[in-house]
Amino acid sequence: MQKHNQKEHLYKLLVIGDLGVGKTSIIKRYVHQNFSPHYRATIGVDFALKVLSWDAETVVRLQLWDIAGQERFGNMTRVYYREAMGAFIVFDITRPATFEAVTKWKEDLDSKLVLPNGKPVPAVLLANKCDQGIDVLMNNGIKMDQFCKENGFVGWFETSAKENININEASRCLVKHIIASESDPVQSIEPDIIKPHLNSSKIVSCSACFKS
Amino acid sequence: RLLETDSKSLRSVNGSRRNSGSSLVSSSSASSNLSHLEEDSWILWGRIVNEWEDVRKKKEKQVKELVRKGIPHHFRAIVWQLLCSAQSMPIKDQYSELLKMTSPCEKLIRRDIARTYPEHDFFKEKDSLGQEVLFNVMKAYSLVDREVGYCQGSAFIVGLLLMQVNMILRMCEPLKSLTECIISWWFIANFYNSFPSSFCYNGILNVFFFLPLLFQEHLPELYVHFQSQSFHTSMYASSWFLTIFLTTFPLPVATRVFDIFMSEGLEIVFRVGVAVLQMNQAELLQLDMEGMLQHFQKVIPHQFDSGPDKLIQASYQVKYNAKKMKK
Repeated sequence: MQKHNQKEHLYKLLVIGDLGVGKTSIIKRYVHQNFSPHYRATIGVDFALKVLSWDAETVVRLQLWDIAGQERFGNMTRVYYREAMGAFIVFDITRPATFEAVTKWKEDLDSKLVLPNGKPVPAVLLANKCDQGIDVLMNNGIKMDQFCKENGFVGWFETSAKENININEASRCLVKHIIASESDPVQSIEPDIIKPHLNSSKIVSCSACFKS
Repeated sequence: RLLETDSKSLRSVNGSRRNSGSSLVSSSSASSNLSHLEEDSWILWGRIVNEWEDVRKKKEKQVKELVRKGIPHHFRAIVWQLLCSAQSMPIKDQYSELLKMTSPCEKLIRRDIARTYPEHDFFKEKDSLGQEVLFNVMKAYSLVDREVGYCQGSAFIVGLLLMQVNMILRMCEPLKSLTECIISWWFIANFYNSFPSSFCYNGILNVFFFLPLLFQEHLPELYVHFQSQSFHTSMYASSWFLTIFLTTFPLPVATRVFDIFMSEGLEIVFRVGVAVLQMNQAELLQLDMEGMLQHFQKVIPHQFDSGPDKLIQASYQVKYNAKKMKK
């Protein structure tokens, strides 16, 4: 099947965030294209695989690591984080406490994992359960951009695993940043939120990550 | 003593269910008559339960052997309670006091209630009796064991205990709250008193240190393979210890392991773990990290669907040095 000149990239992605924010649901939606309100709590770690044909020359294999929400209280995250190339940090827009925990998850991630070039791994913030009709974030888009900039996220998305909103987009954004950071190991790209106008030839822009 | 009166009431409940047993059993077996084998086993377990103190002193080994073969479904509730020998229990008033208090873990617990056995009839409805009782017990536990508070995974264990007594819980209010109180006590007696260090995420790190030592001894080749693939114990064995296999295998298999856990303790978890790896060694050696993760997630859970006897027999072939593990 695979063409001779096709390159295959294998990336390990982490999906982390507080308990019950919808990490498993996001992965199931992304990988199996379905949703159930009845997923069991994840114990330890779960694993799923998604293959993307990125472009004519590139196939991307994503290993998605679904890490139990309570893991932050143990020291186990370190072994799960090893060799990851990117991360989704998820919170539940209906529960402010899960957003407050986002910085803790980001710190945990950055303290335990850096790319070979010494930079933090690209991380995308997911504001999940946006189908629940709470519009706080829509009105606070600028604040969210600011938050991402301050905390080193390469982008953020409002997502809904239930309604299948923005999950593919978020993944493309993360993968794009991973590919960019790989192909330019010394000078990894700046997050768009810092220089959204930056669109020069060499640097992959990620304006698609952000809603205007 | 409350416990005694209660175990009597539990016994009489079991007794009355036994007497009207044919109608209850007919739902699970095609004929309304008990098979001889089943009847023998009921008579035997009935005697064990009625003469528990005596039987336990004089025939400890035989009881262990019988438990390994599986406790008949209708006797589980009472036998588990006898096995964990709750000598005393917090008086019912204390339990209701606990429920009036606020636990710092309440929100966390609440979040997981609907995600514990979401497919099971007793728990699946929002605000059902099952969900309410599960929440109460987890909350009471978190107030008694403040250090652990709530640990993800434990609700599956309490949920299994509740499934065994759900008939009693459905009966009437005094029986319901008494039973609820007893369940919380079983749980505390087994986990808080017996295995405090293994029963939380921080404690489980010790387990993940022991388990590889056991593998090194029993499965040296696989141990090297896991090491070379950076395949850490926590990636496949978290559910073994945090839920005593209840989220690893389907309930009929896991419940059999749980029978032995109630009777012999944590050792069975190590034994079953090694047995599972032994049975899968040949395949695992051929797989990389990704393949192994998938094997543990997709193949192993259904390996014993036809019956857990093979697994339990294999786990007792494992040479387990209890003294060494205690160190």
